[in-house]
Amino acid sequence: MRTLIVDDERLARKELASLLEQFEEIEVIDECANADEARKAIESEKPDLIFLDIQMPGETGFELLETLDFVPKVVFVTAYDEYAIKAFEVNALDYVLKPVEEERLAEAIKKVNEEFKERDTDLETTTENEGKLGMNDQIFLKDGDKCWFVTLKDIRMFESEGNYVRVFFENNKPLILKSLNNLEKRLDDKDFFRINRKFIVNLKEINHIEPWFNGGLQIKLTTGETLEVSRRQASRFKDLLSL
Amino acid sequence: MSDEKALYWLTQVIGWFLFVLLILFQNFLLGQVDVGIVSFLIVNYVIGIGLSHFMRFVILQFGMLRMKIYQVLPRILMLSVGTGVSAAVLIGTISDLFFEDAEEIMVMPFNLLLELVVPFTVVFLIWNILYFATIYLKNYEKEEVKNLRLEASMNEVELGNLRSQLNPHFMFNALNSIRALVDENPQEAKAGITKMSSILRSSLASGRKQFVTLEEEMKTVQAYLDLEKIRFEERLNYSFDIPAELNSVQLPPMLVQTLAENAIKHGISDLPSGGDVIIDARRLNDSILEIRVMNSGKYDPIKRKKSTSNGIGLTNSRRRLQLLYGTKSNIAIYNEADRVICDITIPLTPKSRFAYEDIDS
Repeated sequence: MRTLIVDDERLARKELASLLEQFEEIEVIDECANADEARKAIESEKPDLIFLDIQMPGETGFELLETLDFVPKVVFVTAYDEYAIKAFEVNALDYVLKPVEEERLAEAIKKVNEEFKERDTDLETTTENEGKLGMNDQIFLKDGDKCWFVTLKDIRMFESEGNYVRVFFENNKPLILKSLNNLEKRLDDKDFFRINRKFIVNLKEINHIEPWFNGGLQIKLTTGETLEVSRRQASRFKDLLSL
Repeated sequence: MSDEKALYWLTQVIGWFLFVLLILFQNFLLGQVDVGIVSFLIVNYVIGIGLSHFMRFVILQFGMLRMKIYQVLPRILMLSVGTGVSAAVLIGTISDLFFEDAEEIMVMPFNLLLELVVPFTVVFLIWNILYFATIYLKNYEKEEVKNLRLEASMNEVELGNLRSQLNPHFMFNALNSIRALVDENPQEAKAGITKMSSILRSSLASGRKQFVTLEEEMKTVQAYLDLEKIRFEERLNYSFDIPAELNSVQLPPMLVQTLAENAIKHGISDLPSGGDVIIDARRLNDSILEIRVMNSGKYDPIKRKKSTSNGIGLTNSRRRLQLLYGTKSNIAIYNEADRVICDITIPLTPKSRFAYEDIDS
């Protein structure tokens, strides 16, 4: 796995790099001292895994993840105690504490490795869509002190709210600072379809469709929400579904 | 005999003496002083002391001192009337039996009532009121002392809790850096471990000591900043300017240390290219010491409140100083140019506010 280390302290980066040497599957491709450097490296190198320090000057690790379109697997590295991390409610979070224990690090890497292989086999079929997010890609969402890594296929829909987009998944609906238009470009319309000005819907979540006024359609999601497909989008929508 | 008991008897003896003296004086004004009156008053005196002492016995026996005021009042009234009647009957009988020249009292119930029962009831009522008032006042004082002592011990406990504990975040980061140094520069790694011990030692000692000298405190701060320098490398520079004459000034342990930690945590560690920490001390006048901790960065109380640790260090330090020095101390924090300045002012001669601790002994 092509791995990036992000930590503001040189000695901490050095220590982690030397610990990682013994893991064959890990290949450290770069080290970054702050969020800016890390963002550039992530966009250009597209690493598989990052070891990310949470407390950094300027932007924190969480803030960095929020701005990313493409989120690699993340293992947080922090001197915080675990209770302090749990306060952030990051789900599916993996972290190691400084000073890093080798066994704990091995565990974290093993877990990432397994997830990675799983996703790799899934990914074989959908790798041709260059630049677009696949259903198994994850994004990082933050709402106050709550953070989530969400796999795209778990998202029901996106709703535009001014400069923000509300993301609906499970029982959560945090806001992210992105425009629905930008989001639409990043999503594959075979997975997520823009049904009208306000909504993008996960096609797999649609339960029921019926004709509606003005040549539009009304759809019902598995979770019970009903939404309207505008007339402009209705024909394209029918095309997609008839495939 | 305890002090309280002695006081009780003294009051009894003097009080009743004054009472009969008053009657004697009254009789004297009427020109009726003779041997009969004097012996009659002696009887009064003895019966007064005897019956009031019996009344006290009843009060104690029935636990009336612990009763609520509305329960006590009717009982006092009844007790006074009862004792008043007993006194009247006793005196009447004695007078009839032994003072033959005086008019018969017991055969004239109206006279008995008017001349003896009412005055004696009033006198015993006054006695009771004085007795209860004294007891209540005493209890109130005791309560007051107890409260003061409780407050003092609570302050002690609070001070203990406020005594700055080392920030675990710092310790783990420092240990992590030292671990990396073991390969890179074993000599410096060893020095780092020694400094870590020195900080741990003063942190532990701060739980036992109320004061340390400024010199000791600055040694701890230096060890702390040296360790942070291992971590931040060229991003941290620090300097001290403490006049030697102030070295022996006493101050609460870990006070400057806490503010130095703040300077790192909220200042240097937030700056990608780092900055300086400058600590100096001066004598403001004969009685006030000022210690100034400056760091690069910007003090933003709103942002600080939002952060997970929300400036506990500063709040705790303020509370500690308040408990130790009252209003004679202060911590001010403000921005100046691109620096955060934190000024601590404390009295040069410390005085523990727990001076009343020796009440116990």
